[in-house]
Amino acid sequence: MTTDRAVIALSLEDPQAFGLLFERHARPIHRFIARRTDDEVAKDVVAETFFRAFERRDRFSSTRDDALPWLFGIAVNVLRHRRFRDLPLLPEDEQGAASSDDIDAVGRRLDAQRQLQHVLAAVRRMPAGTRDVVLLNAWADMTYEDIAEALQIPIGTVRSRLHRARTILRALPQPRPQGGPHGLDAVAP
Amino acid sequence: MDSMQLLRDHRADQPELAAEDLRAMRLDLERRLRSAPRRRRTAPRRGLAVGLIAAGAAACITVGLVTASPAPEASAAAAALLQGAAATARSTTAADGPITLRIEQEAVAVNGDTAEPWSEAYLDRTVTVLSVPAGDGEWTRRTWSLPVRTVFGGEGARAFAQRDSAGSATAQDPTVETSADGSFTVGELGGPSDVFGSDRQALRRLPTATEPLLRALQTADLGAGPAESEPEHVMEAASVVLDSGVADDRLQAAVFTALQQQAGLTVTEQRADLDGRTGTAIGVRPGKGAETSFQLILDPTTGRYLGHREVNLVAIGSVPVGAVLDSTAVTRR
Repeated sequence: MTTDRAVIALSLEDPQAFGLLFERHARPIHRFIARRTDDEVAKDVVAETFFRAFERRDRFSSTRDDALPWLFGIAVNVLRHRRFRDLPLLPEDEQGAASSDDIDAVGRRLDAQRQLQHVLAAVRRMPAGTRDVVLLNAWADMTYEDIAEALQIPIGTVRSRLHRARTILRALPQPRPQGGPHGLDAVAP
Repeated sequence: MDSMQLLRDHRADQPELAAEDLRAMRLDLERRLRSAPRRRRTAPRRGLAVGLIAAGAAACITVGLVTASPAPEASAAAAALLQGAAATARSTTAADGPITLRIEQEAVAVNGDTAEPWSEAYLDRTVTVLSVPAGDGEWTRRTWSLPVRTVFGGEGARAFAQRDSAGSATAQDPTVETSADGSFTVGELGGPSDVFGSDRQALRRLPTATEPLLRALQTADLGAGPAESEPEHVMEAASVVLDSGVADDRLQAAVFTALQQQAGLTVTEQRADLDGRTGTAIGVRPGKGAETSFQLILDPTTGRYLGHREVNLVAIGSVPVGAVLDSTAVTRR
């Protein structure tokens, strides 16, 4: 298979060749952005990402053959310049309004949803640079090296930002153990 | 459930982009591409920073012994240092015993929320203490932050550093992780690494014969790190081994021996500071356009490996030439 690097080199002479890069990588980028925003914003960001990537393709400098981290980096930058609501809350009907008769299962789901809201709120409060590192790691399954390449920051900075984020997330309230009381009316001892 | 796992699972069922949407978007992109002008290829740009300013020829900050032309292997001064380091590693008695690694890192953090990110930057400081058992057993890694001591920029940079480092783990309350084999959930610092193969344990199986080991260092997959050239690539790969609790003394000695055979290495600074310790820097004479210089730091007296650092060669924003952008000081007991 032709490497991304070769496709980019080819596209310097034949711009249409760049479409192959889109075919290969549009989906993971769309999925990542859609998880942060919504499907429509994500489509818009993906389109803009690839056009900007095309315009800058002569500056593609990675030593690796894979262009995906580079494209993620551009997508994150495109997203930063949009007005959007990062990490929207879940709609009410997805917040554990269960059809299950199992009261414990409903309780556990409610606890998990409540914990998730704390997590999302905490991530939303993080500095933009830290938030990008956390979400690329959690949702794009990117390695430290890939994140460093995507955001053009040293790998030590990736580590320190993730370390900081994990410290913040660990300090969040944890759900009660299974078998304990659940729901809004539950009172902590 | 662990908060990070909860985050990973959130909206994991986000549907893929539909085939018809993908096709329509590609057609739209290709329409835009048809009207785009053709471009000439320019020289590849490497280095840490997006938007590093093309500031003319890179300034060479190296002092001391610098060879005038590339030698077929490491320069005599560098080779002698590396030979000493190999001898020191071989004579260490901690082989097969428990190891404690103290790794102090400084890494530049830039404020991406400003129009000119590098106008506000600081060096983030973390300490990692890794306890590696003898044989199979549980590894423990303790990590905490140290107060920031280097800020690039004015009041805004100081405020950024303060804001950014708020909430970090402290020495009194460090982040503690344990792992059966050193494969920590997040971060490979000090543990096994996938640099030498998709199997994270590949580092344990590196050859100790000079030529195969040098080849492994030359072909290590560092991702798109800051290496400018093969010698820098080799030094970076070597640092992964040398910073690791996985590599025993025999492998460490073998790495120093292999480095002696690597062309292009030279002494770039006789008195290089690394976290308050002074050693001799081994690096590469920077080529035209080089933005950073990667260096291994060795104690010339004892032959001990002190760590590595990356020095800025081109001023950017508030960060001057000569600033250490990234450093790792290692103490192995």
